[in-house]
Amino acid sequence: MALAIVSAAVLSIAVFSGGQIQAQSGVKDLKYGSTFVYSSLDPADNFSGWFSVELGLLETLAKLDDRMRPIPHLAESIENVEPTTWKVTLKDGVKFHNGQPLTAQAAKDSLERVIGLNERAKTGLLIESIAVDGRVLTIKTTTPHPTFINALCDPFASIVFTGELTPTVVYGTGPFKVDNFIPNGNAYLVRFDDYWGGKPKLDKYTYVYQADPGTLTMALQSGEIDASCDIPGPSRQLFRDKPDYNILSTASSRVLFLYYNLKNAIIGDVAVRKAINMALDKATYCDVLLDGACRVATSLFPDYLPYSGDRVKGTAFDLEGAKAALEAAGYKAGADGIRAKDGKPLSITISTYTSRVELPILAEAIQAQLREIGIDVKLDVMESVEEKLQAGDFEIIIYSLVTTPLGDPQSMLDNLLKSTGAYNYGKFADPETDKQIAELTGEFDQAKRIELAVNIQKKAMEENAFGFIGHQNRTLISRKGVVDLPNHPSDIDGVNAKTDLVR
Amino acid sequence: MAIVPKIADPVKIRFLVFSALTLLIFALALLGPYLAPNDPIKSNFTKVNQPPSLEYPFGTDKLGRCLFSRVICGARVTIFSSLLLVGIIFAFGTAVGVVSSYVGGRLDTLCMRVTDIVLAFPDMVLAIAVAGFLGGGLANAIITLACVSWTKYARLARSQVLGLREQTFMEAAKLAGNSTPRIIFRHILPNALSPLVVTAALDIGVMIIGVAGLSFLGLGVRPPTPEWGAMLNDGRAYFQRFPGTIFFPGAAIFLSIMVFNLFGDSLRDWLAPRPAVTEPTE
Amino acid sequence: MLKYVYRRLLQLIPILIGITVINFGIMFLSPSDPAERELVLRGMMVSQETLDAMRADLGLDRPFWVQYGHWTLNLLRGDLGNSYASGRPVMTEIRERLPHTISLAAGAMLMTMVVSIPLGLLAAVRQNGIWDYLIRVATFVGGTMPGFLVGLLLIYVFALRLNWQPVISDGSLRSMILPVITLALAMTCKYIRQIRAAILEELDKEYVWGARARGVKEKYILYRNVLKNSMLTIITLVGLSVGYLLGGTAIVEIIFTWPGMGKLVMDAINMRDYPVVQGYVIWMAIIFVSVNLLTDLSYRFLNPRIRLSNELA
Repeated sequence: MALAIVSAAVLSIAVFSGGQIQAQSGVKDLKYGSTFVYSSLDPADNFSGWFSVELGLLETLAKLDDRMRPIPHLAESIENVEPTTWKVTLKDGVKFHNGQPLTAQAAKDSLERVIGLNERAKTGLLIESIAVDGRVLTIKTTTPHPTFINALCDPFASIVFTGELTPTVVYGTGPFKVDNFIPNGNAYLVRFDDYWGGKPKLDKYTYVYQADPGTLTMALQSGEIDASCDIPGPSRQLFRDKPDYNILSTASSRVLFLYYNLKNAIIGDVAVRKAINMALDKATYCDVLLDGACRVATSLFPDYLPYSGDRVKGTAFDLEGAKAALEAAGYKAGADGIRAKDGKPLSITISTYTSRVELPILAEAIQAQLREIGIDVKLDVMESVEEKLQAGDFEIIIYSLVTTPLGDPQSMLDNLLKSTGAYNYGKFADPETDKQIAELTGEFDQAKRIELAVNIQKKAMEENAFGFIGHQNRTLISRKGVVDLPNHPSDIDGVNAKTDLVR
Repeated sequence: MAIVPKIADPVKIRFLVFSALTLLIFALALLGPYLAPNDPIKSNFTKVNQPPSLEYPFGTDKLGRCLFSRVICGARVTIFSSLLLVGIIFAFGTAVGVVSSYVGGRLDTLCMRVTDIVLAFPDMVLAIAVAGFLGGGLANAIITLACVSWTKYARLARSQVLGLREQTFMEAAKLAGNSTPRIIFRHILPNALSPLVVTAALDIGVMIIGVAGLSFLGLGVRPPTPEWGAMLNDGRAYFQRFPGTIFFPGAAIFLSIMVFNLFGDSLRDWLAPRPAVTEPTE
Repeated sequence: MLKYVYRRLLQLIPILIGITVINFGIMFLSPSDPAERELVLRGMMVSQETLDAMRADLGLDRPFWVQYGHWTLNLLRGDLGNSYASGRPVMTEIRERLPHTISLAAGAMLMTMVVSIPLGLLAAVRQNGIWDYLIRVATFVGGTMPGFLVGLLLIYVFALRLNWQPVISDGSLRSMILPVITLALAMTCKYIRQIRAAILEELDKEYVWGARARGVKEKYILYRNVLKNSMLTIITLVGLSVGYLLGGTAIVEIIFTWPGMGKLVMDAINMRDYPVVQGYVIWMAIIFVSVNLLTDLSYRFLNPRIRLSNELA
């Protein structure tokens, strides 16, 4: 009995001694929560560069300004000497986290390393050779490359110290350096005092991974995290008009869309794709189900860009029309309402992933809506769909991509619509489109580029090769006291030297 | 003309009351689709996350589906799959236990080794792993839980039969020239059944937790099938603004498990008034 | 006693072999192809030729028993392969997570003991009194609540509304409290009822009446004899609960994001990371079997009268 009382006492002390969660110490540690998880900090690994830039760990030679124009960043200047030659002059006094200076040779090593390891980097940068002289890099491209400076903004082109580099040990030039990184878990960063842009205001920056958006929401409410971009639309209401929180929303170019596998027997039928695209009640998804987390998308790029909007026509919402289209294509409704053609039921699987919080809700909504036009949908919601995408083992996948990460349509058209494109998982292939993309690659005239970009999208839109649903409103919710944590429309940004925590 | 139970027997009254409640839940589960005011999987995007109203007694969920209808129809999924499960493991486990112990010898040794091995895995651990490998789906969840839960019955049936074998009436039945199946069905089963039935009754609640638990983890039913555990998991992201998404399926799980447990307890008291040490609830 | 230990250890061998066969066998249930998985991971083209080459490379084209033998030999060396998701050895991942799960389970066990023994005793001593009644009702309700419901309620009240506890557990002692309560609640309720019954049964025995007649103090009888003799019931309960505890950690760890084995396996399942799932199962089974062995032995140690032939019951 005595033991019991003592233990109970110990237990209750443990319960109540904690008090408030917030640390009262003077250390400024900003905790950012996210549903995304990465296994590496190395920019050559898939999309890890985005993560490392977000952490304030790595920086690129150029960077997009608030109006999506590329400006030099680690570079002092970037000049286009000839169509295939670029001269990059580095800033003076930039140091890596291990104390080594950023020299032209170091930048060259970093760029050459990534084009050797990452296919997107290779096709994005099109570097033929790099010559170094003091702080100047002279870069020759394989073809005329009008958007080379945009390509330098891509996180894969982040400058890393190549002398010592593993997935968890990465020396960059950013305002924060790695203290501890747990692959597929949290990242702990500390201030880099020798940062070229001045001593960072925060002492620490912690990236808190939390797969469940409900828990993430509660963690922001309880003060365990200070900010997050991944609070689900319907939960944002909990923070709106509350004096303790700031909400910063930006019209991102990230598109939520359906990958149709054109090689699939059912989805390969353009009539089915068209019917599905007609059945998507995007306005309701965006405004009601996601509570304004997205804006309706009719095509790949957001409306505010010159190569989108009215100039690229998508399929409009028309439920009856969708039914009629299926009927006309020979899909007759059975007793249970599910259509069939030649005895084969119109039954498909839609896969999606959980980390982008809008997608699972969209998947369920689309499932319900397609049921109405007689398509039976099975859902497969998982942690990651990369494996399925790359293996081509899917019918429809709901996915999301930032369409203009570099302020220019080139990289997205290259990757998504070119028959050999790195993200062309649905295997859309059209020789005319490929030809136009090749033309775009070498075109320096801005007006002509826009014209080409519009035309390139036409065929894919006609064939309903994708189903575009919405463009995201990237919403950063932070606790009061979080200062200058940016929310850039390109999605490529994160903590910087000016970010501060004022209690 | 009602049959008036003996007033002096509270155990029997309790049993009758809880049997009635249990039957009521079965009836609800069975008639669910007819009682539900709305289609449980039909979404109405113009009416998402509504508070309770006359049209939607429990309100609606994130896709505008009627929560009341989903809870009612979810009873069918959750409760019937638990019953089916208990039926499967009861029949299979008992058959294995009775046959192996009656036949004895190598078969018995083999069967007991197999149960030993299955018992070497904690139930939920094996269930999670098997469901993880098989992928989601209600059928897979049932298979999974059946695989890990039948051994208890095999053990129990075996010990019952071993006890019975020594008794004189068995000797008599054998000497009278009865065939083996006849002995099993006429003499062994009726005498060995009652502890097995009690275990089965108490297992209904355990299986509800199992099915709902796997669904809660995302390893059970797939959307849009209404199932209480899956509804709870769905509601997690919404319950702060719309508490009904958690409250109603949670209450349904809680109440039904309570009724089944009370029923099981009263059945045990009625059949064998002596309290026995049973396995802790899962 | 030694002979018994020896025999019990011998019995373990077929069980351990069975565990490895089942564990290896369930890998074959998975619809996903490890060769394809590996190709995608290495960023190589997926075609029939590359698949066949990868299968040969991974030894997947060999017969089941050869693959099994290979896998088991590696297992004996402590090599469970590498995680698909992180590329790190499965053993490393498990070594990081296992202590968290064990401390969670041990904490739940401790809490159960600390709460259930005094309450069970109280209910038994005050049989049919108000305390007994309250405890019986409370334990019935508590025993009926599924863990996931309890967890959600606790996190809402104590972490979000009262802000006493963190929402995201970090593995610290403080953040352990809610998960432990969630895991322990149903078990505690069960224990209280069983302990109450056991003590009541014990109190009804002749020696108790005899002692009372001799004028021995009630307290003395209770603590010196009755409670001591009820220990066997408690040990039986502990043995039976270990499986529940190990399995129950998965749901609790998910709700509280406790960085243990359950969280590890759920993440692994979501990422189709099968080697980690296998590692999880094998470790859990080994722990379960070992704890059962220990309970058996301590049971026997405390009560040497139990005959070997009875242990199957």
